[in-house]
Amino acid sequence: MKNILKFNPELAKNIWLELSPQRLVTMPAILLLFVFLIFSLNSSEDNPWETVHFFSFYGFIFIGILWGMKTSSDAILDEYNDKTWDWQKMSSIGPWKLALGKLIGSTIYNWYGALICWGLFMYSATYTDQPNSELKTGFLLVTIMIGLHGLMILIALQLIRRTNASTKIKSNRIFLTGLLFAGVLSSIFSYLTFFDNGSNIQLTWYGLTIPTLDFLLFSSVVYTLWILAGLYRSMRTELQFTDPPSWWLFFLIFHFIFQYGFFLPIGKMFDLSALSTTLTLLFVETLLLTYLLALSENKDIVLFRKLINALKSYDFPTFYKYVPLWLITLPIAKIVGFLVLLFLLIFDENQVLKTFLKDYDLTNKAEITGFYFSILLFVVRDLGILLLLNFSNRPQRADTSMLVYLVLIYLILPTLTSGLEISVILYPDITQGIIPLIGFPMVEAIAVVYFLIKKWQEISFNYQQNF
Amino acid sequence: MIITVSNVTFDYPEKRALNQVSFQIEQGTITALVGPNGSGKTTLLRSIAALSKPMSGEIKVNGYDTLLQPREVHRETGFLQDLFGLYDTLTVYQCLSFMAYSRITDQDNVEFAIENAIEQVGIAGFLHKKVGVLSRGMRQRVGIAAAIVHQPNLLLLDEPASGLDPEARYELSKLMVNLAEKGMTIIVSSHILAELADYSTHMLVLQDGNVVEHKKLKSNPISRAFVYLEIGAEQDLTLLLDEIKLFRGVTEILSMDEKIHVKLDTLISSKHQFLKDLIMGNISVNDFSEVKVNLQDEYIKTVSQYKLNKSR
Repeated sequence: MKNILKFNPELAKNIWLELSPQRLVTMPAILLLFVFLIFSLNSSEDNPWETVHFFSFYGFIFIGILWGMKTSSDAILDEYNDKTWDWQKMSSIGPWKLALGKLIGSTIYNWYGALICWGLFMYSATYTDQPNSELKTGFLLVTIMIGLHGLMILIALQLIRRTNASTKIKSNRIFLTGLLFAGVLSSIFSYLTFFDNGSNIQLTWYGLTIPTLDFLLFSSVVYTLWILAGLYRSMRTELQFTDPPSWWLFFLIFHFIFQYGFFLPIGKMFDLSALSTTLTLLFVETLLLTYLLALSENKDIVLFRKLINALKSYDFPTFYKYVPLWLITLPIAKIVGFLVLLFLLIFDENQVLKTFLKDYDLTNKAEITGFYFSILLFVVRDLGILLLLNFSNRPQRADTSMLVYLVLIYLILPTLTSGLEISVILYPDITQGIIPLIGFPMVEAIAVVYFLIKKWQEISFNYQQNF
Repeated sequence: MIITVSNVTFDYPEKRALNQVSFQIEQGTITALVGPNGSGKTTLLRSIAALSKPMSGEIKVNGYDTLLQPREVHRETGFLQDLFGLYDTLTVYQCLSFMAYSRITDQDNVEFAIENAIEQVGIAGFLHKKVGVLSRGMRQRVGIAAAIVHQPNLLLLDEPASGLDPEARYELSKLMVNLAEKGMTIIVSSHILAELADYSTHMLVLQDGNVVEHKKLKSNPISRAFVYLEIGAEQDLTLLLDEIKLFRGVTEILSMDEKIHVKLDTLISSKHQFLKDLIMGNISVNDFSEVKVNLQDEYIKTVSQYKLNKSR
């Protein structure tokens, strides 16, 4: 144990916490009992290893992925709630060691059970019809497990950063978010592998024709590496290192390049249509990320005062230390959106918009430009409201209220008022003409910014009054 | 100076916790950080430990800036929070080993450091017990051992005495004095002033995020112990002052309210010896009593003055 302590104290601590002789015996006993049951209940015609293969797959998913997701998010939140996180923050362990110690250590018991299932899965794969693709699925499962556990720790770290030190955090919310993400991921994977098995459809990426499963394995590995990079950076922040948000920018650039490969025709490395389509996709993604990050990151007024003070004194390291990712993502979204607009105005090139707005004449350059600015103004309105709610006297429910507001504005109200033609007040609607398209969001954005400034002045005045 | 705090302002979204706080703390002292709940004690300790970042101002610990060099500050500092932050399902030894290996970079010294911490806080008797089954007093000792295992120069304790029984408080006092004796600088926050008075050398009073008092209480509680005496005499007191100040152990003397007030160093003399000296010196003593000067009185005097000034 001393060697593990020397190598990674966090890992050693988690081994002490998670592995007891009783637990070490229980897990294989239950799993082997299950295998024994399968063999004893198996009829003579069926191959029992095929049944073992089926159950070991779901055993891995339950023990390794789902249970492990809960354990990994608890790993951070328990430390935070039990006030041991400060010890960690003051330790001299490096960010990589801490990240790996948490990632592997906190879920070590899940790994223990999952690896038994995995061994059974890989061995029994040889008895299936498609042993090669089953073996690849085995490696895909391990990658997904690491990626999802890393993601859960990342979300947990994000949550503790925005929470008051005296508040206890429950892991349910993180676990549900993780489950939702895992659900979406598994739907995509099932959909793609269904096609692969059913009709042998292969994916084309940068002109290469790749079997779907191989591509899923490749992309899982790559995106899991990005999650690990994010985890490393997040741990660095917790350990009080100061870094510019360059890795986030690199990730977005990588993501753009990755997606570009899907739209590129075979034999070409540059294509205007592919570029325009990828940019449009990235514009939508960065906008969604801006909203998602803005809802999840810290937005208290002190943070913004620190940012403004840092900018005023040209103290960029401090600015980097505090700047939330949504404030970085928003200008990127604006730039990408502007590029999309340029492509449409100059080259008349955008297959995505032409598909989604097929009833509308996209040659009207003024309205297309208006559409872009309308989107930006509505984003200003929404984020302004989010900040107003967070600067209020009772900010505890601000983000939940904002979610309700977003559902109301973008979903319920448009449905209820579909015949009244007031959509242009609620969201960017290109079909209503240039003046309302720009006018309404501009009035709304100006009003929100006005109230935001008033609130800022009120809070600053209150600080001065107190002393 | 081991700690230099300059114009530190710390804001929470709803209120200002520290307002332009400035002070300095010398090496080897024990400072009682006192103030009512919500006065900013914990925020100040967390800021000194480089765990929370102030809005403005500068804090230096042993020359390291808490904003620019937080990792160096962490190496210099041990911080024990009010709930001690321990892993209940680990044994005391496992807990200490984890803390030691995660805080000490020179791995050859870790085992020695663990043994040293165990000896310093006196927890050798329950090393293999689970932390979760320990009494609050024992947990606190384990917490202190964990906080000092990397041999920091500065130890910050946030409300260490709350919930402790009188015996455990007494043990804590002894421990504080022992640690300071070995050169450690200690800041202890508490709103229970009685036990702080036993070992503190300085008092820092926080009220509404402001430092309203920072004063020396005793020059050194470890090697020196003082008693404050009140003497009444038949003779003219002003004439007696010059005579008495030459007596052994007298460090301060003044005449007030028809009495002579003496601060006596009990390592040089004793009350009994001093009275004997007075009688041998033909002083007609008609009153001789010890005056208890405690932290509580000092604190209340300071806070009353602050409130009076504020109301003006």
